[in-house]
Amino acid sequence: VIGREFALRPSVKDWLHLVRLAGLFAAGTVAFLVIRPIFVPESFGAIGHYRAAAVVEARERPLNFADGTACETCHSDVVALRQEKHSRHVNIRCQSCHGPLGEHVATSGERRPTLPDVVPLCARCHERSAGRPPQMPQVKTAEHSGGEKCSACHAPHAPGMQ
Amino acid sequence: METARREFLIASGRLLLLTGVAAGALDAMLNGEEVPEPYRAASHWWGMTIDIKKCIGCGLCVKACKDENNVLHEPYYFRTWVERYRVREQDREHPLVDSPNGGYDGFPAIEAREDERVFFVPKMCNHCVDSPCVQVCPVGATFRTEDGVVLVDKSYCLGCRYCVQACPYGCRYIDPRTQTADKCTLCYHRISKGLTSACAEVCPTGARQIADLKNPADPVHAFLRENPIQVLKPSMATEPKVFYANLDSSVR
Repeated sequence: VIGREFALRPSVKDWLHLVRLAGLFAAGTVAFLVIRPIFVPESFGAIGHYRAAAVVEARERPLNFADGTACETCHSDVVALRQEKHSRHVNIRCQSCHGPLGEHVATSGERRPTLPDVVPLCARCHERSAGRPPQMPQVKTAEHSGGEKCSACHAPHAPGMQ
Repeated sequence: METARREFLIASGRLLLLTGVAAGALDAMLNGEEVPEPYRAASHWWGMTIDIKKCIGCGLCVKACKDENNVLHEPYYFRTWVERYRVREQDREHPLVDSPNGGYDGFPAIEAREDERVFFVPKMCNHCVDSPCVQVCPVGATFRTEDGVVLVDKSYCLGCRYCVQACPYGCRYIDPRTQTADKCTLCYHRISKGLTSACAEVCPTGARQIADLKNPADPVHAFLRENPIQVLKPSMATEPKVFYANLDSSVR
């Protein structure tokens, strides 16, 4: 009998439950809308599930190695020498041996690179070792030069005997 | 009235656009130089080719990569490294592999035994199309760009190390300076400017080449057609984009 009475005469108090729920839901929605932009970085999701700006940032990182074709503008003599002497190093890029020259190019030659330490540098490619193709010139440096620098006999830009 | 305003707006918009284009063309004509075209990611699809026959194990790529990308010089932090394989006839499935300091200083000379073959394998991020590292990142800090390069957003990375675990090729590490994941970017800052990567730039034999698979003029297409090509761990179905020519099946 008591339950029946309750069902027939809903009080104001019962409606308040729904109002409270709706209020909570609205507050949650507002909180979500306010908090979300704080945690989701700008440009996130513009292309995919990542920050679109990160792609541009990755592209704009500064170079340490210069554009390999830049060397020719000032050092055409070396390029010409390599071709004239039919150098076996004709296809080797300047920065393979001279290291990163980005700063050297950016400062128009003001920042000078240090010359490489020839013996370990030459040995990287020319020390006789298994795994290198037989047509590749290789020596046992210890026996070959007796401690003499490679550049004493070989010009690095055109490495045939002088 | 309404129509007139609309027409006026359309006409003036067109005029503005035309003058803009004309001014650009005139500028290019007068200065005699091309207006640099903005990089269009959608018209590239980057990968790399490595010819094992050409690699002589000089390690210049390892050094250049560290110099270009400011990678820590202590051992065990590498965006690319070179491994030396010694495969013996009687036990092809268990080759001897060494990689002293990743090949940074080259390799100590060895003499091959009669029953073994020695070769070098440069390794790096494979810039997979279906990359496990991208799939596991919980925040979207690592992703594949529209042009097929897998990158890490260092400002957004949590350093949770899931991607380091997920990469089947061991190409990722945590940079102790930032406590974020780090890996090869395929020199994205260079290739998007029309340059080649640092490792390919210094390679004395041309064993490493950057490849734009969407560019019909790229020599990569002939390279892929004319050489026996393999990728690493094809069974992982990651669709790697580093293509090895003349690779031995013992390489993992």
